[in-house]
Amino acid sequence: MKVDVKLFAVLREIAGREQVTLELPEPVALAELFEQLSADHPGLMRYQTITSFALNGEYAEPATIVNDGDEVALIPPISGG
Amino acid sequence: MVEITRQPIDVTALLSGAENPAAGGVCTFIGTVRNHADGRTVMRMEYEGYAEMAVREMERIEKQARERWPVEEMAIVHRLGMLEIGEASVVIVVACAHRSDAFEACRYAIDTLKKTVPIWKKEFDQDGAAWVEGVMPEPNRE
Repeated sequence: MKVDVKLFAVLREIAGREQVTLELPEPVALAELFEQLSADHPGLMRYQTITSFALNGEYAEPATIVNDGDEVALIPPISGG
Repeated sequence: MVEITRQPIDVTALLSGAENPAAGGVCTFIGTVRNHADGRTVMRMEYEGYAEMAVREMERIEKQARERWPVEEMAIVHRLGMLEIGEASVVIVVACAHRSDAFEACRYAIDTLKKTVPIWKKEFDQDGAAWVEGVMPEPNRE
């Protein structure tokens, strides 16, 4: 299955790209998906505890399962306004 | 109405859009780029956002404000891109029959925006640039 992962702000800079498409053998939790991305981009690891997730444009808990075709976003601490 | 824009925010146009004969108080909050932070001189600020989601979260804030206060007109606009000192990054306009409701709804909107809307800012000073330390979002579900 394929999942698009959007990256923002400091996480985007660490990964060097705005979006990554992951090929996964089976549905995984958001938290596991972060770990897989960290394997490719080790700099992400130190942000693990302060990264929130969005699934299809809505905030989601780390245990939420990601399915084929979903859009995931990694949300570092926000600072709008 | 809510909007994410890369253009300068036209506050006068937003105020015109909020005109309503039933309104007796219009409260406007304008967030602007400040020239200092923690003793350092800030030269400009760059805003990045997850635009589609940001719009949805801003729509949620407007809906909740309208449920809690008797709002006649409301606008929430956030700008993205590179902003100079003094430029408006966010503008909120709330028109209500009475001023206390307008103040409260406006305050609610900016406070909630800072806790829920996925936008980030990077501060540029003489030494370089750094992402502003943010807050972990508090999802707005009720």
